[in-house]
Amino acid sequence: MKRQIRKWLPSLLSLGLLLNSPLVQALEEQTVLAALALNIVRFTTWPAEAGIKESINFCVVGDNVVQQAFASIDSKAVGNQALKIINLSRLSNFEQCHVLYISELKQNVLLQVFVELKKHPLLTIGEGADFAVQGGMVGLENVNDKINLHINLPVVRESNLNISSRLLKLAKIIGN
Amino acid sequence: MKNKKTILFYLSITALCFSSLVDADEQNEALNLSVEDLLNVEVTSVAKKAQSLNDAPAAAFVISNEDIKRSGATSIPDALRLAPGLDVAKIDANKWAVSSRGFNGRFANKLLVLIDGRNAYTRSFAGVYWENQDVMMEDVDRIEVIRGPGAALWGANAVNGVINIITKSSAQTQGALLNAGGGTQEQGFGSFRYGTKFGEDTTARAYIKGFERGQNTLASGGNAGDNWNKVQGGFRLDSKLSLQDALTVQGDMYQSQINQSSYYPQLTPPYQLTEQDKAHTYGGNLLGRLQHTFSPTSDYSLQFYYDTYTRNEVPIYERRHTLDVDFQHRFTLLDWHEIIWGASYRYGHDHIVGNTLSNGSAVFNVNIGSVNDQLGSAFIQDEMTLIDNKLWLTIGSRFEHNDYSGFEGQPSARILWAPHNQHRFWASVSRAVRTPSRIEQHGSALGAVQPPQVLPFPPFGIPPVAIMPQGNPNYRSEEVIAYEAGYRTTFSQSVSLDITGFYNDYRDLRNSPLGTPTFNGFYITQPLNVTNTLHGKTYGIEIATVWQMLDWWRWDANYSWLHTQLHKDGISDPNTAISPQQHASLRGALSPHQDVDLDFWFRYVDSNFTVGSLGDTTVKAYVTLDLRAAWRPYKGIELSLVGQNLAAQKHLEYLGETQVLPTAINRGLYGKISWSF
Repeated sequence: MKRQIRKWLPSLLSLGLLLNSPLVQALEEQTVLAALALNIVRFTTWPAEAGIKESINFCVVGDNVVQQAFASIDSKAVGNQALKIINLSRLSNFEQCHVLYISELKQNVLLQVFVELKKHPLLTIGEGADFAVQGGMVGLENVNDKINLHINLPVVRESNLNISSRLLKLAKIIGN
Repeated sequence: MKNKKTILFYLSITALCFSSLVDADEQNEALNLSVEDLLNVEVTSVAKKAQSLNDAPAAAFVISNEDIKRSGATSIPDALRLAPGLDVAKIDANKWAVSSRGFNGRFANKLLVLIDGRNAYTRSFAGVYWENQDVMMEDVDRIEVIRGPGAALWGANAVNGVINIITKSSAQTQGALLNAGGGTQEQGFGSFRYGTKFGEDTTARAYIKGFERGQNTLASGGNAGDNWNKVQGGFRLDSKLSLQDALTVQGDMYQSQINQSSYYPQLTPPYQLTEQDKAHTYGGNLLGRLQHTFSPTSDYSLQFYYDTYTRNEVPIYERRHTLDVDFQHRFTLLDWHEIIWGASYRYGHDHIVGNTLSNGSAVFNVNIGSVNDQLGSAFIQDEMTLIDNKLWLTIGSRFEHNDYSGFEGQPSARILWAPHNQHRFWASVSRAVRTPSRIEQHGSALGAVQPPQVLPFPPFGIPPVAIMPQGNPNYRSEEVIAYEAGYRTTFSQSVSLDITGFYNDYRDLRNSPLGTPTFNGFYITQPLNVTNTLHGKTYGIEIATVWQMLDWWRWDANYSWLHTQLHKDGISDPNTAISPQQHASLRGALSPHQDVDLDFWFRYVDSNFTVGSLGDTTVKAYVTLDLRAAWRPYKGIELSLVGQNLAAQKHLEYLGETQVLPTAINRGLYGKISWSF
């Protein structure tokens, strides 16, 4: 019996490895987006008026998959502060947020979110090519299975936020 | 001992290899990468579909554009087979029976169907002419299938389900798309769509499509003569009028030639006329929707549409015009209430007459040939967040008044509990009604004729008996009180499971007991009076699972079980059609190479019991298989080959209640080329 198990286990193992092989270099998109968002926060400085104390409140608008991915960056250190993930079930109470991550919203609603947040010191990060073009700050676009960064610099500056030049160099700048 | 360790080692490694696509290690790996590396790493989003959980406190299922494409389905009803719990049966090439949670039939009346907000359910016979409903399948964004009552939000007739067919915004369908193909059953089809921009804020598309579908085989043998063709064209325009206002205008026109093998009861020998006849149907619609967004939590939409169809076939001529205006407003109150309310008004005008058959007789009559009818309704729904991110209670009701059954109230209460982002529990109780149709109140038909019988002592005998279903102006609405509960989970990161259980309590269902017979010297007329004397209950479960086994291999498996138990006033076993008890579907979607797709789809449908003018029949259970292979040799070009119903040369799915001779659906094969540029 044992001999039989030993006979087929290695072949099953190699089959498993073979089938799994394309995954070795590819990472799950939401996981990468969450890790990128954490890094973007680390490259951002808020003005004093943002009132950041012990935690940076990172609000997330997204489904269960998005929420689960962002749970992995909860309480990660950012400078002297810790990141605090807040899942928003309604598009209100934005004043508690220092960062707002929007996974997916209808365009008409998204535009009104930007109107509401105008000039507030709140970093907005979202998915898709249009996010930064339409008035968001940092857009994360999937182009041929790689994430591209888009940063809308005028909006960032209007809100008195500062994004490090190291990050700006990696991004496509919109608006200047 | 050493052997045991080796085995354990191999086992754990093997388990790791087959384990889920995303795990904690992967999350840590991502967190340890620099920004530069994160922007260079290859990302995959295949697991998302397997993991995402619907947040609706209802038995909701979404069929995506990709699902439709990979199923090889060429029509809306065939695509609906992708959803769990729906019973889709082809009666012949151009007629379908589609229903949720039982009561299926060609004139299934408890399922509401909307195409981009336009109601496809007709008042004439209370149901959907599926052969009239079509869209450019490639431009469908998604089909939302909600099983169970949806009346509080969508109005009457959403008794056992609502189907929302939603096409893409024209901004998402820019450029040209050309499809062409043909084969054995799908003899030839083609479509062309072109999308363009008008200035900064306006996008539009126009399309034209056509097909010729081949005939099937009569159950008794020989060609069914049910081939048909259709041409349809349409457009959609989406415009941002301002930062807050968006306008959508869309419309379609179609015309179709339908062939069918029909039988009609006759009062003279041989008491049944069988003939090849034709139906000519045509129609169109125009819809406009204005949406104004006040803030992220408040918006309203104002929609109007006009829809018309004409159906001219041998026994009946029917034309209907519908004008509908609908207003909806959504806003939040006190931070924990999201309120949606709305009002709508519908005006209908119809013309229905019985035609004479080729031999001069008529089988169908409508007392009032033309009617103008009105429907006014209003609804309000409050979604309350009882515990933030955890517990929601939604209560609402629709109140409407129609010219057939008067005032109707259709409330519902639903609760959703999300104890963890991998688990959702929901439960609901709701009431919905199915309002009377024109035919049920005003029509009459020669349903069947029992030939004369000679008694053993001549010259005495029984003359022919004409069985005549008779409309009843006092026929009321059918009613259901539905209790539902469900659970959804992604217990592993590559598997999701959705289970729903329901118990439906029906009252005042349609039943046609024998009336008082009369004799005119030649034949006996036996009326069947349409009444609300049938009651009963159905209960069942529906299960849908998705397993993203590998990056390039997804499984979709669905199963449903239904029990139907009906009784008349005083009689326990009425003679009514019973829908299949079990459905199972197993679909594998493989992409072994980025330019190659392989799909297989097994379906099992349990036996069903049909009651029609040819008598009562049990249609046998069947298993069928569809296969699809697609190859994209160049960017923008896809070649595909689809085999449908491959398991048998032909199989019977359903028997039409009237008119259509029993038709078995043939095996089919077609090839398609799709070019986007």
